[in-house]
Amino acid sequence: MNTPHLSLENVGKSFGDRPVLTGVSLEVQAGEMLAILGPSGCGKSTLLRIVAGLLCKDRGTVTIAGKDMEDVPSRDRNIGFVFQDYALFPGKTVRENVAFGLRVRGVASPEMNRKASDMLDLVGLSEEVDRPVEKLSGGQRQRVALARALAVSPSLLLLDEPLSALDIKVRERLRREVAAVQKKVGIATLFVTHDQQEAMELGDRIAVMNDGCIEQIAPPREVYQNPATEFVARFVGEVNVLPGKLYKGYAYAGSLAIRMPDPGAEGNGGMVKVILRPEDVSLFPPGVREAGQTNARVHAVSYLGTHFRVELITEEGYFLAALLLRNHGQSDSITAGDAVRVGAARGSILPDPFGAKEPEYYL
Amino acid sequence: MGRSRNMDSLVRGATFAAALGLFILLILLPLVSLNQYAVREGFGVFWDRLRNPDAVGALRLTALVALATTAVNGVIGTAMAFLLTRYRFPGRKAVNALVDIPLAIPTVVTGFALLLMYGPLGPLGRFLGDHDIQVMFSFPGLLLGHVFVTFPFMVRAVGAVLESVPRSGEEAARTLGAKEWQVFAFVTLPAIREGIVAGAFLTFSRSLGEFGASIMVSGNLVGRTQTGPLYIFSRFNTGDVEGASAIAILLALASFLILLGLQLVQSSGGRKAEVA
Repeated sequence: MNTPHLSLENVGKSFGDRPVLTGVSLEVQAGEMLAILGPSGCGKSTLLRIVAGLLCKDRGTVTIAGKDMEDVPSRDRNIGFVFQDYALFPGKTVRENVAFGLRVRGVASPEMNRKASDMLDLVGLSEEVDRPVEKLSGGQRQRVALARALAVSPSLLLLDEPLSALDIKVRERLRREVAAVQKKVGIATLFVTHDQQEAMELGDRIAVMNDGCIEQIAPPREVYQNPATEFVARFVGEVNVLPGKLYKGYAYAGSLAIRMPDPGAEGNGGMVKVILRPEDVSLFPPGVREAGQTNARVHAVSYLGTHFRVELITEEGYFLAALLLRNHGQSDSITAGDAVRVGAARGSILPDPFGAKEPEYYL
Repeated sequence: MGRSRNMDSLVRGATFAAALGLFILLILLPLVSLNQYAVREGFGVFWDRLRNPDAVGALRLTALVALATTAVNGVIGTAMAFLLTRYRFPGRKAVNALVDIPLAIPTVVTGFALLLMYGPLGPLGRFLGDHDIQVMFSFPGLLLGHVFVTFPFMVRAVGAVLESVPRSGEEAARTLGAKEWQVFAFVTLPAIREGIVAGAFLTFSRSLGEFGASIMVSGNLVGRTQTGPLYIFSRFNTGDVEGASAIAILLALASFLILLGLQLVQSSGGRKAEVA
């Protein structure tokens, strides 16, 4: 990879004596979309505002396009920022909003209007140019905000929970539109969200933040299948965390064998935390259990539309959640109290030994 | 059930009657008697009293001082509101509390204090006097008193609106490349326009009726530093009740119109905010 377009090094920030960011480092390549994912209050918006120059950091460096941003005000950072509440200028039309950045830069009228029209074409709002922004729907406002941010041809796009104020249908559609626009423009983008699906779908890579620091930066698949910490594992989806013993490329939780993605990397006999996604748990009719399987009793079943979610208690006493596709052979008949055989496809491990904490994963 | 409804309507009726009674006793009847005195000798005489050069001078001075006060407080009051709502600095709470001081101090005390400071007895007044600058008993003194007395109105009117304007608009402008003056001119100012208009109305009408500080700092010089309210007071003291009434009616009418204007501005502002 060549030099990153945006790079943060050890950025720290406290509000009063409360630390909000404790040494954050990350890089965004040209054209890349990096999603910062984390629960509210983890410092992700603060980080974005520091990159934008809307907030001063206490320490660390922010470099955009090879230039140190120390003491560079927002207006000179050549960024586009989309706010959670859109922050459109009231009493102005769509065109005036989109052209604002060009107007304050003294761009001549014809050029300004042409550029604004281009941007509105890009986000599919060419019909609305002369409407006041107050008359637009939430989704349209969001697109105006995006067009406005892109109109000044920024080198870096910053999105602060841009879709969170929309209802779910609009949000899912706009998510794809935003992704399409970003790829078309090819702009390096830093994108903050608390929605793991949004992060997965939009991010080329995801930086998972917790409590002021980044726990993992990796492509979505890696974050989901091979989480670096238990927090990451739990934040990006439901997960079974089991105590396991390593043996020949498998981790054993009782007699349940979970295949490791990277066999041989770990020694035999060590205790590990096993991360097992519910969809990687397979159920079989009761019978003689094969090697690596275990017996379990169904504790509860809930219907989720595309899936059944089945809660199990294994004969060793582990609590397991499993997702069953609707067209799975057993899914129609399974009820609480049933006996089943359980197998596991694949999982990942965390090196932390359980030690004394082991019992909390038993029922 | 029926009984409590009867009680309800009784309470409502009594409240309404009390409010109406107070309105009649405290506002309507005094205004009617004012009116009676003003036009007792017919409209021609009323008109003549208004055209009395001293009265015209007093009214013109009142309008001038009120306009100048509104202009001065429009600028420094808005700046103060901006400072108090947009910045965090040591002593902000103290400054915020001090803004309301002019409401608490009796205006005549304010005038007296200004007189002692800037008048011929005060050190600053003597110093300025030595350089041929006379603050007291002149227009600058009146302006100073009025600016002080009406200071909180603009700050509070603009401050309330500023509080409710999200900062993200200003921040968006900054990220789009706007310089600070552009942020203020294109984003902040349009957003707080209604607060400024409301503050200006309040300041202007308060200045129109200012008496306590004015009588101390103006010297009440007929035709030179005598404002409308001082004219009314002087005329009444010399027994010219009709002359005082004529000007009083005019000032009351002006205040009423300003109040009406303020209501119109605020209700249209409210409608606009709803749409946004």
